[in-house]
Amino acid sequence: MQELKAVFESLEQLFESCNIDYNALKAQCLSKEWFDNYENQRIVNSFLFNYIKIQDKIGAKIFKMSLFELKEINDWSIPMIDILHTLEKLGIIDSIDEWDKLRELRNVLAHEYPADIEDRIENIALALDGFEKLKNQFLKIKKYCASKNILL
Amino acid sequence: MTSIRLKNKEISIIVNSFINTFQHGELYLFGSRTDASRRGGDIDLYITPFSKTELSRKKIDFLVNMKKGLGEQKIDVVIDRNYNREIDKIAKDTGVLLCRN
Repeated sequence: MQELKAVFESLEQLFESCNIDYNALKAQCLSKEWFDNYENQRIVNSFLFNYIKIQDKIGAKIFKMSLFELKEINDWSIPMIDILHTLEKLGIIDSIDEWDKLRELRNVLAHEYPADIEDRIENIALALDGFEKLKNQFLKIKKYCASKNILL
Repeated sequence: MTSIRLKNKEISIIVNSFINTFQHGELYLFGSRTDASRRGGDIDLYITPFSKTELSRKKIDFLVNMKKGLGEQKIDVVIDRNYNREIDKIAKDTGVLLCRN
């Protein structure tokens, strides 16, 4: 249980950092000209770096560890699709489809061609929406775990 | 189309996902799956969409849609945005047309 608590805490720190870049990006009108400024690219890179880390930590750790502590699963080797079905059943994720889209977006972001500015701008807009969704899912699972007294 | 290394069912899933997501355009298979002498490998797809709006969102929807039918596997989707990159040239020169709609 301590390990789960530590992962929740580290995610909170990541969300805090990512939120600074998120607010900075939301205040901008992203364009090719805006990207020409390297300082602006740094904000994007910082946001995406934390975004991907958050996504990975939620997908690979929080979901499974929480369900294990909640005694919803008892096998660490359970396939991801079964984890998602359980999370959907508990109302922690809105839909498996939405999670799949976030996961594909994460992969697209990790493999994009940096020179394709138009592509990057669209991906960043999707990642900004994705960040909101990740935050929402994080808060939902945290609330759920707290209601079952497993984060004391 | 005889030399491509995809089952008919896989082609059908890919083409249906393409039409559901992009509606109109061209879909090509390129890369190692067009080479009958090789084994395994990623599925490399190239799309020339008719409409150029929301292409990143459509690419993600297309990938999610396809994987529902194909299961988890490595699929790379390159979209023609009129950039004329090296990858565009390779895909256009060597790709096998799967669908024109």
